[in-house]
Amino acid sequence: MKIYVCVKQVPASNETLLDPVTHTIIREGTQSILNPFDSYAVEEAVRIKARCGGTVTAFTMGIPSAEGTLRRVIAVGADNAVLLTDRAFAGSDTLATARTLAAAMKRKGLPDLILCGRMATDGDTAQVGPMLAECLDLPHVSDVAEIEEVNETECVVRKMTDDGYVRLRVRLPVLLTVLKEINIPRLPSVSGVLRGEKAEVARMNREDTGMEAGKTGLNGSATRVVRTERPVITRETVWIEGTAREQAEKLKGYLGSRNGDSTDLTETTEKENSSTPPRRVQDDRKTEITPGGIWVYCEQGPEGIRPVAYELLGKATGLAGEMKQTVTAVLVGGAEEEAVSLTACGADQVLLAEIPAEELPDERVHTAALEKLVGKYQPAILLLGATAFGRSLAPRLAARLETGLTADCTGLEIDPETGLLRQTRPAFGGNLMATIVCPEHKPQMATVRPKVFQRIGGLSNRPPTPLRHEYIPERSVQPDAVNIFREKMETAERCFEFLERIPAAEETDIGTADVLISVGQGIGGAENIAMAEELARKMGGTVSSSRPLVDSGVMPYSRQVGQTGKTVAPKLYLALGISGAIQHMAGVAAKTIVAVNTDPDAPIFGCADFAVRSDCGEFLRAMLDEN
Amino acid sequence: MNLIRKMSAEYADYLFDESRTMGSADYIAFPANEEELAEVVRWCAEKQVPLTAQGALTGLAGGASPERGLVLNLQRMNRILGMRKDPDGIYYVRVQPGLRLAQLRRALAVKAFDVAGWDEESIGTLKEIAPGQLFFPPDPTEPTASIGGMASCNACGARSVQYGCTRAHIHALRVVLADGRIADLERGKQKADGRKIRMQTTDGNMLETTLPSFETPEIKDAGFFIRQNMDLLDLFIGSQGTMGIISELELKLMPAPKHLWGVTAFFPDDECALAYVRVVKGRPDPGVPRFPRPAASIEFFDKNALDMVQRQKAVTPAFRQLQELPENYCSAVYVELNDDDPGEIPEVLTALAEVLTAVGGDPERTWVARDALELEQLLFFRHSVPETIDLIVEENRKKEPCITILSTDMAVDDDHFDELFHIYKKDLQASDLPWIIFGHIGENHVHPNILARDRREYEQGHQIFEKWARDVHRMGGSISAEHGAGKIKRRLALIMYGEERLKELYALKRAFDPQGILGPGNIFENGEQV
Repeated sequence: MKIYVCVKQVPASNETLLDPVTHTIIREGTQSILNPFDSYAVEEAVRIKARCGGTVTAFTMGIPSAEGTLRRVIAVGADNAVLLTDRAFAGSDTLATARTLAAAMKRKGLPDLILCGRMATDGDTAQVGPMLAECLDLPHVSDVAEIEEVNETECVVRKMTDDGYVRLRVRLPVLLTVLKEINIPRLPSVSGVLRGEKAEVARMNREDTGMEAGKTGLNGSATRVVRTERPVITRETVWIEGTAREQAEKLKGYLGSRNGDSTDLTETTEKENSSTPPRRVQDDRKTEITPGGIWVYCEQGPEGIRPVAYELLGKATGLAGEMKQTVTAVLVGGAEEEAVSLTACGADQVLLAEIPAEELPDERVHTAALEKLVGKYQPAILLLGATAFGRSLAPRLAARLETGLTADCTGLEIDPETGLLRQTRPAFGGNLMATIVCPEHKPQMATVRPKVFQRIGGLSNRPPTPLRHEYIPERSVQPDAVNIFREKMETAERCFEFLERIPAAEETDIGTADVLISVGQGIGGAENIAMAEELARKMGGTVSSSRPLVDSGVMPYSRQVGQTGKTVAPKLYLALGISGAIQHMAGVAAKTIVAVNTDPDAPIFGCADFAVRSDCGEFLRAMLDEN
Repeated sequence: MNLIRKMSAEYADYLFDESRTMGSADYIAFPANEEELAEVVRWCAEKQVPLTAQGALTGLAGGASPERGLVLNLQRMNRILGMRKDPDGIYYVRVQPGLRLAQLRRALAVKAFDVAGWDEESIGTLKEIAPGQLFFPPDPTEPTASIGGMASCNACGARSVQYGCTRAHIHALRVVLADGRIADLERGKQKADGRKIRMQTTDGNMLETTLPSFETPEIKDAGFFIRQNMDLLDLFIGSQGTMGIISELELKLMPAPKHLWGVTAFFPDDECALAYVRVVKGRPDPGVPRFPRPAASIEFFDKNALDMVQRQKAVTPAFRQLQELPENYCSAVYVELNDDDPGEIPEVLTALAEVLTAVGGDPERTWVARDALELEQLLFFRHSVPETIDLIVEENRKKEPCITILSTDMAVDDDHFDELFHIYKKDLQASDLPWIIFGHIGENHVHPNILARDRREYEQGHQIFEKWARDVHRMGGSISAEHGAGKIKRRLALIMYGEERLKELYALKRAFDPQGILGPGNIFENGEQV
């Protein structure tokens, strides 16, 4: 079996700098490592080779010194390595990277299997894998937790979705992106390191790949980084001093007095929900889907439309007001009853692509549907929720549409001068906020994580009567009427054959908890985590975690808060021993943040409402004492 | 007085240390500074209440488990007080005893210090240093250990092969004596005159006495340190809170190694592993090439230790991330190396491969960690052994509460180590006890652990330890290289010192502690009767 693995060299630490002029990454002079996520792909490739025979070839695109990373991959069992390096590749965005990798792979002969890590720790986009699959016209499966069976013609994989695991059968050749839980990457042996040092690393430049001049690197990229800045998160912080006991007492007092607020918060939300969503100029409302509009792809899960779709509609409504445009909610498959609630939450029209019923949304089917709709209606902006499926579909679709895509945006605004969508996202583990535009390609695509934006309107409205628009009928003037446009889709190729759903184990959902006791590396041992759990029980909350404890296996991934975990919006977020790196805080949309840390310089104190300088164990003991 | 609280159920966690030696106490105090610490000691002296000092309770010999009286817990005294540079360019940092090693390491690594109350010299010195430029070398297995606790038992840990024990990195101490007065002692300044001691306290008083007539072993030893003309501060390092309570330490820092990396190698039998260790330590072996670098640490794992962790992997989710062991493993040796230039690694590994092959190992059956991330995995593996012991002992205690950790840390010199290792194995194999051997083989002290399941096995374990103490005594070694005698190993201390010498040491202690209130039960078995 011929296996390709994509790897990336990333900075050992995310304190990397961006060139202030070109806004591209300065890679020289910083210590580099193999992207930790890629080591799982390499390990899986080596294991499959041991099972089925064949060869493993690692590909990377990067500066000449990335050769060192390839030698490391050979040290743990890859047979060959290819380094794509050329000044003409510099400044590539994810799509330009995927295209270049695809061109190189075509030159080297297509493999049976391509394995990629889930994402890279510097960009955190998780886009190159699905984009590469699309560029090679191969099926792909993201977030693979286990490759159960594999032979020359097909494989059976267990994939993680937002609702637990599913088992899928996939025909080869295929591209898989793998999760950390798939294996434990081996360390190299002494002999392995020496093999790596002696190995030949093949090099390819632009000409070798056959890519046209001007189509690679920065010139070949659809997106442009227009601004980078160090993120500043400020809150007015109240320092709570004294012994642990006194600190606990004072904190309880403060939280008690804030309790009133929390109740108020609930009420306001409900009030907002029951009011009519803020509308753009009513007379401007169009009864047809005109080019240049804003689209929100509305993903449907087992329990209907995912909440993030409503949040995006809320945001889109605001953007549309500035653009004097309409908001279209796009459904691929599903029933039209779903359409009603979308209108109540900001959609002017609902566009429904009719596809055969599916057990699980298929990236290739949805890509084909959206390609057709986009081609017909020419939206200016397409927003998708950064759910597991959204993060897998969006890159594939962007590659099909040959447009730019920005992952995990935390800010979206319309540039008043150019009218372009300014997309802001954390990069380098949140150490930088990058603002990105896509000036020459349409639609401008972005994904947004759940809970980043707020929905407007609510489901509590009396459901309006659905109206059906086969073509473009006269528009009803009823404010809450639903305009549905239906489009029939042809059969498209699929990524996978659905086998079965493995329901998620009964897990507490940190995304919905009102009180989160969150533990980080500074928590100081299992006994303190146990106390945190006890405190959570007493306060009616749940324990969540920062990334290091998840990486080290102490806490399950389902509890991870942050850019690469879950976004949470509790009323109270009590952070214990969490330093408060931006990538963590990017996932915290809490009403009240309390930080407990021994280090007075911990960044988390800068974004906390209440700062407690204390050992976590002592603090917990004091909190539990009289709670 | 608010500072001193009656013992109650809420303080139950302060009655035992990592060894699970259960103690008892009537009072507990958490002083926040030296003044309060001295106040507590004065109160104890007045009321003749014995007191046991505690740091982070990570000790493995029961030294911090109280035997009646007052628990003097120093966890609140956890500040870094300042730093300076001497004319030779050596940096020093002043800390309180309750500071944890991990906190100090982190502060130095990322240069994050709470400078409230620092003097100008300290702040000026801090400005000079870069994050990660300096480090404090002692490396006990448990990084949450307190610095005061490390001093009190002269902890050493894995890297002592290269850097020596905690004692070598302590430049000055402030000590609260048994009557609450304070001594300020600096290395090279306050010394014994032959065997005569004249120690001035900060209030101008003079404490005069004579040192015992003998010298403690030259070998690494966690107990008392007695030499002619010795630095007086050394009396308080290794004496486990029986001579005075350390209230402040000045630590000598070293330039941090530029590039730390390591190799774990698996061997088909223990003899190959022992041969490898000899070569790594630089002892010539015919037919085996020289080892290419001095090692910063050398750690050993026997088959039982590897099997034990392997079994625990199925139970403890955190251990799932451990590397998979090669097939047919027997023992393993981890070697940590320092290099200025990671570019030299391939050259070193080429030489290492030859050594491995020559001693009967296999360069394929190794794990190489070339950067901090990979090294973490090797250290995680190393740490999983004591973690597993902890879990097993905790489990066994549920059936038999008298069980504690039974771990030894006896040390001998290079010439005697293989002999001692074979004695360990022979005695353990002859018993029907569950056991493992792992630890700091580079410094000739591995940790045979007996995982007793019931009272009989626990007592049998103690008997085996006493036999070994006699063997080690015969070889001129130490019964405790790093954990201290504490309470679990005080019978072994008696075997090592002999009754006469122990009496002399006790007389020295009583000269400093006339009422015998400091560290009851530590080192001296039932002090009054010695």
